[in-house]
Amino acid sequence: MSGMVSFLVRKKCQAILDWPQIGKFLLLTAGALFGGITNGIGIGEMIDLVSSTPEVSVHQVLIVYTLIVGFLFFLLDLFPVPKQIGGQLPEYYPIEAIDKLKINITFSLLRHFVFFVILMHSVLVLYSDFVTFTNGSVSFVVLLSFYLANRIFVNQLAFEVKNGFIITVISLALVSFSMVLYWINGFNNLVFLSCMLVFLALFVLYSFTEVTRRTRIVKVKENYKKSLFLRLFSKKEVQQLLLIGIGFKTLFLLMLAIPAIVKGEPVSGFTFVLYFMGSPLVLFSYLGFNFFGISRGLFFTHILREQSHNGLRSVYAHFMAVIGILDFVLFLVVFYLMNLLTLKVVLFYVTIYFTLLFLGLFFSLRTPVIRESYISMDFTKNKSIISIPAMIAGISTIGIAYGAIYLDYYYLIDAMLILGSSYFYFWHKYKINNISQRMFKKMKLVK
Amino acid sequence: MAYILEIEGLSKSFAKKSILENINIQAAEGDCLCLIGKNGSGKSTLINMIIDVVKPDSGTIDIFGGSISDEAIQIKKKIGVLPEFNPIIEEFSVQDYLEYVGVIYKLDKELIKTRSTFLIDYFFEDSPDAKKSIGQFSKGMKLKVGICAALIHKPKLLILDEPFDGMDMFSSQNLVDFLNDYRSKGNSVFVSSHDMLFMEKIATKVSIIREQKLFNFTMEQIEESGKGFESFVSEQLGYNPKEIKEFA
Repeated sequence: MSGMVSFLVRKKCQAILDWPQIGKFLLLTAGALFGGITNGIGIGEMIDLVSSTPEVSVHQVLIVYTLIVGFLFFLLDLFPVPKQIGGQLPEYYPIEAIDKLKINITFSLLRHFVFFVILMHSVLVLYSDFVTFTNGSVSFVVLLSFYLANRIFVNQLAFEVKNGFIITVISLALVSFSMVLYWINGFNNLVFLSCMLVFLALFVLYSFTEVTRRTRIVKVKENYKKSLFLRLFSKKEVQQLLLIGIGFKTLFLLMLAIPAIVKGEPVSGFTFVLYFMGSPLVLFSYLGFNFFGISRGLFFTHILREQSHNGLRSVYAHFMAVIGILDFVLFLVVFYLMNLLTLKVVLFYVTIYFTLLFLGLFFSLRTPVIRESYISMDFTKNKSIISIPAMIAGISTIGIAYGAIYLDYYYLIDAMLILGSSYFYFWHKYKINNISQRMFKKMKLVK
Repeated sequence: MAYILEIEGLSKSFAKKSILENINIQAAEGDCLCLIGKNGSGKSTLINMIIDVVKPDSGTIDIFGGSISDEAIQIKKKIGVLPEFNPIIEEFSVQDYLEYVGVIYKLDKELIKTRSTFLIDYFFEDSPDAKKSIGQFSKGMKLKVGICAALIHKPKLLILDEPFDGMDMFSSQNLVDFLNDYRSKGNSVFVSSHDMLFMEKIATKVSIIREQKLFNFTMEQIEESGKGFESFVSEQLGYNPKEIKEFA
């Protein structure tokens, strides 16, 4: 099996590297366009169908959309090459700039697709009266099954998991089985049950491959037995800034909520969201810290970590995900308890969240983080831990939030999708595996 | 005389702190130039400038008669590099990785196979571990992978940063033999290392970095000094044995 895997990987690398430059460019452009168009059309169709055709249930649309787009992305994502290849070719290789484009672009397509579809699932589930718990959950399960099957396959290909071939075949067979069952019988309790079982089975298989993968990584990188995320999170500086962020957020909330409660007046949902989102939990904890890397001690840790481990980008992604989820859950709970949870409020929150991320990334790409005094390790010149780009991004976001309050529902969706896409576009374009290297380049310390 | 590598007046500073000043190097066909310096003296920075990873503040670097900044692609095709941070792909086997690097250099498939088989046989000596993925290798074995990758396209100029670091004695001797043979066939080698024992066996020229300056010597000059290789280099580096006091 290992022979087959290495053969596959080798062929993929050769095939892609052998392509003419225009071929690689077309692949990337077509991939990006395909992703944008399918998501855009799918989402547009869903909204249109659900709002104009009462007999078409949200569930049906979701299933069809998920099956078609999910399957196409699943196929595209079967072009995996080990992650390190993409964008990591050292400067001394005789490679033109175009060759350095991320030949593993398809690797993450499915992940982003899943993210957007889950977002739209959530929006539609909140929006529609047709969705019941049963068919709503099946929609999510089908979607996640695709994702799990894909991850199992990728794990097998990249890490040669023990019995991986059998696991991959079983997982693909399970997904196919549930699809066939649905195709033949339509939606009924049997399909529901089989979907749940398929999902459970896939989850168990995925866990197995994931454990093997992690064991392998730990074996390879003995110095990193603890996950990078945990190591980052265990830093006192990170914890302190998180607490500062939560403190500020609580303060803003209390400033708004207490007078309203005392006076017995209803609190405006949007104003509340504005204060909630405008408060700097994300700003201080993630953007202010990781994107802009201002804390000198932590930043040096980052640079050293980058040197020995090319996974900084994934650490950031984890950090963002965890903080984002915590913040979002807190938001949902508070708003639900105050009976202010509406679709528009959720959309507003997500739009502003993407605005902050996008602006943060945008400003960070234009502002050198590593100042000369960092390089010479002269800490006396850098006492501030406040990031100017983070502050600009934060203030700009609050300004935009004031304007966005007055946007209609559809414009909010548009803004959210545009900002979200822009954010992921930037994220991919700059492939921030090596932030310090990029910043060094910006300072013309390296070519 | 046409030089393979000619560096003139090269300087580099980081954060206004000078790292290298007015560096001059000339290496001809068949030379093995050994670069020696203390930790942090700027050896890797110099190599990074030669391989076009770090930009110099001033000075010129001509390789094969052309400037690396103007003819980067053509020149890079003739250089093989083992950098300080070896960029191996840990999921690959050695064979896969060498094939991958061969493809980057646009080598013929048969040629890649022939050369990679030779290099693996030579450096890994039929070790069964060679078939495992690189991620499971020891530090020394990963180093060998990097050396093989630097050699797969038979570069006219081979640049190795700390090639003996972590390698066992027998493997180091194998590398020494290989480099001497490679050099004798008209190729040039540029090596940075702390290992005096092996450096002495391969060097035709020695460049010593001391206090941001580079001092060039031929092996004849070192022999004429009558001090022996290690003593000569230590003296040039300004080594003073420390008196060991009682360790509290």
